[in-house]
Amino acid sequence: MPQADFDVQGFARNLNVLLVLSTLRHEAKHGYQIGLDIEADSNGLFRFRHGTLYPILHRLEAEGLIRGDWSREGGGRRKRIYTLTANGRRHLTGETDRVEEILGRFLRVIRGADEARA
Amino acid sequence: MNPAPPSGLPSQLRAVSDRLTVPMPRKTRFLEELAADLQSLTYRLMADGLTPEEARRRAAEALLPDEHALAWLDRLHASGYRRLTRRWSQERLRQAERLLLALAFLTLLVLEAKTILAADFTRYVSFFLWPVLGVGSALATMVLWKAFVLWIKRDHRRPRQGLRTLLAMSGAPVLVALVGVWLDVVRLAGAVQTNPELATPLVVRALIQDAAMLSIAILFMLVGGVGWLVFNQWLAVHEHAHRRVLSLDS
Repeated sequence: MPQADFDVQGFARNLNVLLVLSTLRHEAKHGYQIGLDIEADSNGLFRFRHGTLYPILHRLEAEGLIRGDWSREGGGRRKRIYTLTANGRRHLTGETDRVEEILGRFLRVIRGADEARA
Repeated sequence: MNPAPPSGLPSQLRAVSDRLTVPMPRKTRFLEELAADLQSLTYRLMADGLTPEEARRRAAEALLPDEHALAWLDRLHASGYRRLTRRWSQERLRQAERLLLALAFLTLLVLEAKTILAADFTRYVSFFLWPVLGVGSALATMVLWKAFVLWIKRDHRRPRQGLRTLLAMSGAPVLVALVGVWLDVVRLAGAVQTNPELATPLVVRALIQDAAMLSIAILFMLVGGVGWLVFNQWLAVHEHAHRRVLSLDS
């Protein structure tokens, strides 16, 4: 990967997107459930606060990576439920590989620097 | 089971609604989504053993958007027009919109004048047709402008602004035409008195010119009235849905 292709800020933003997509991999979920599951799966490391989850969900929906539908459970209030689309699944697979490669290189660099100093 | 909404939720949603400039109906849909998630998360946290107060606080902290998230949502749901003019300063945008408004008015005025002049009855046109045309063009421009703000610019911060004026203005062309008819009748009376032998052609001519003027005025009134009705109905439907979400009716 050429140096110019890598954008650190974009990479960091993309992590939130991958967290959301990955939590929808196996089942459709409501917005609040997505936030709870990400927090639980990461032992509290990743938390969406102050409604930051919603712009991410709406952007992913606009890009066709997830699909939002209204569901009514037990005749009560309508709730928005999100499902991973086929595009989203492809995006998740591709981006997971890319993140793995980038983090692998990053670790090699910092470990190599440590070893060189030792 | 359909539990009652946690107390404080309507006021929280109203606060978000006031700060969010996302156009309708997307704004309503987002508030509906937020309300359902806040309610579900609060009950979920209460089921996990938190007190209702603590559950409400935690749910609000997690889901209620702060200024950063609201600005992000505004950008995401901005209309094509707002995206196109995003880089423009407010002053430049205001100037461009005023120019557009003036151009729309002049274009309408020219088109209407051209159409009327092309018609046969304008050989006998009343002088008062021209003020009717001016007021009518202003009215038609108001209708076009409101449609532009509601459906192209999609600026719904004060959606009912100008609607009452539009309704009041709808009667203006007919009012101007009636004044014109009254003055034409006074003029006609004077002319008949001076030349009684020409009474029949003078009366026929006055009838044609005033009937034409009144018809055009009524046409303008219909444009304004129908425009007002369409805007009003569109807003009523969306405002009803919005109020329903904010008051948390099921």
